[in-house]
This record gives sequence, C-alpha cells and structure tokens, in this order.
Amino acid sequence: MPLRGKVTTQDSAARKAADTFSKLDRDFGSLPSTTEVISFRVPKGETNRLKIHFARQGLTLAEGIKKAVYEAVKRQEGQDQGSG
Amino acid sequence: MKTIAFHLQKGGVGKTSLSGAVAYELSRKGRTILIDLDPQGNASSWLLTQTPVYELASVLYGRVGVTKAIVPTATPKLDILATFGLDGELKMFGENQLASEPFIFCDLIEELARAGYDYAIMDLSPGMGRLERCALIAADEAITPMTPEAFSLDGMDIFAAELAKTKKAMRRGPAHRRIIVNAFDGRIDQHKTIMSQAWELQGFEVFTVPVDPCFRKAQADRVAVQSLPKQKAAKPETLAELRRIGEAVCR
Repeated sequence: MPLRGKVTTQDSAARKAADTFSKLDRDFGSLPSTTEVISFRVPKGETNRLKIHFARQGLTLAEGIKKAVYEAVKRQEGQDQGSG
Repeated sequence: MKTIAFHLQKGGVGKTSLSGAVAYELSRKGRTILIDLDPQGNASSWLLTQTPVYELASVLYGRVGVTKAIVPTATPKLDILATFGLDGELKMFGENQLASEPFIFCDLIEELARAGYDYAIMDLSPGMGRLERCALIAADEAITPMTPEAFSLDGMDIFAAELAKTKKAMRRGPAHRRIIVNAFDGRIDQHKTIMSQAWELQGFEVFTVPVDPCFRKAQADRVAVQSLPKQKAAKPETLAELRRIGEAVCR
C-alpha cells in the first residue's frame, strides 16, 4: 500500500513493483522467487544486430529479448483466450 | 459496443494522451466516441478547435439528448462528448446529482450503442471519487496507464483496492487486464527495473509507450498524435505500440 515500501534504491524499486503487481489479482499469486536461465544459439553476427536494435530502445540484449518473448507469448495467450 | 475506461488515481500518467491516441486507433476499426469525463476538459480542448454548444453534463442533467451533444473531431469516425473546462458542470453533477443516479453512465453507454457506436473511450480524471466509480461500472474494461515510478505503483495499489471495493458494492465493474507503462525511458535504471517486473506480470497484457514529446506537440497543435506532420511525428515505436494497443482492445 502507499506509505509502505518507499522506493529509494533499485532493489526497493523492484520489490515495490513486484509487491504492487502481485496484488493486482490475488488469483495469480506472487512472482516466482527463483529463476532459471534460457539460452539459444543464433547465426554468427545476429547478436550484434539484435544488440543494436534493442539499444535503440535503451535496452540491453537480455532485456530486449525478455520483453519481446513475454509480449509475444501474452499476445498469443490473448488470442487463444479470444478464440476460446 | 465496447467501452474502455482509462483510469489511475495518480495524475500525469498519460490518461488523456493515451485515451485520445487509442480512440484514434479505434476509429480506424469502427465508429468511436471519446467521452470526456475529466472536469478539467483536457481531451475536449485537445481534440476540438471550437467550444461546442453542449457538453456531457448537459446530457446528464437531461437538458439535451445525447446525439445533440456529440461533436465530430477532425478525425473521421471519431466523435467526442465534451466537457467544458471553464464553466463546465460535470464536477457539480458529480457532487450533487450522481449519488441519486449512480447508474446514469450505464444508461448513457446504452444510448451511445443505440446511436451506432462501436467503441466508447472514457477519459477519467485523477482521483477515485463518485464520478470515477460510477463511470468505471459502466465500462467493460479499465486500462491503467502508469509511469514507471513509485507514485504510479502507489496509484496502482489504490486502483486495485478501490476497483475491488466498487465491484463488491455495485455488483458490477470492468475487467482489468491491460496496463500501459507510459513515458518509458530505457536510460533510467529504475524504469528498467520496474518494467522488468511488469513484463513478467501474469494474466495481464503490458504495453510500453516510450517517452515521446509527440504527445505535448499534438496537444499544443490540437491534432491527434498520429496526425502530426512529419517534422513533429511520433517515434516509430510509439506509433507501433499505439497500434498494438488498438488491436488488443478490438480483440
């Protein structure tokens, strides 16, 4: 709630964001507390192209890929729900 | 007809800018009406070049039929139910009359559907008073614009709690499944930190509109963001995301 979780550092910003977003709909529960790594291979030279592309949006390669993947999955999930 | 309310209690997150821009996107798909529910009347002063004869409050007070108060904008298939920022009566209606007619916006939406509109966009004012609650229960969906900073997260907390209370009290309320993170600046670490959490938000569709001066330029020129001339045009990412929001709302 406001007046709790005052944001002063990046860590507390992340905690505050996780706290707020997890409360939006209690059915969805809280965000996972552990993480895992996804990796995949791309043709030589592609990494640079992707890096430059995402850098234009102010994102690192990992941040950009994460954004793109989640957006694509959510779009697909939305379409599946719409057609169902 | 699909009715979408743009709301977050916090001011300055882009409710008016995004509701105007999304209304433009929806007007490509069907007849769209923008309902200016902010007593300050910013959406009206943005998209209209002349003060109309009637405003939304004239309809709510029953002085004029809804079709007489609707004003076309410069964008084809995009009309507006205006609110006068100066000498307007919407605030007074909300304070004096709305308690006895809490479902008046539901009636208004039904009339607009009968008038042949496909989409209605409600631009709400900051705050969460009776006016906002009564408007929200008339909407099918509430989209919350926020900026990636702490006060917006506070605003989201308040919105979620108030929406739950309103749904319980009024036995109805809009779906809340889409969030627009507005004015995202990838150079700011805190923005990226908050966005990183937002992208993982399960059950929600999160959109990211980059920080872009196109909104203030469009408002100063009184044109839609998408209609700005080339030298003032919005960033391609902004236009792409607005289009994506429009597509999502239509689904």
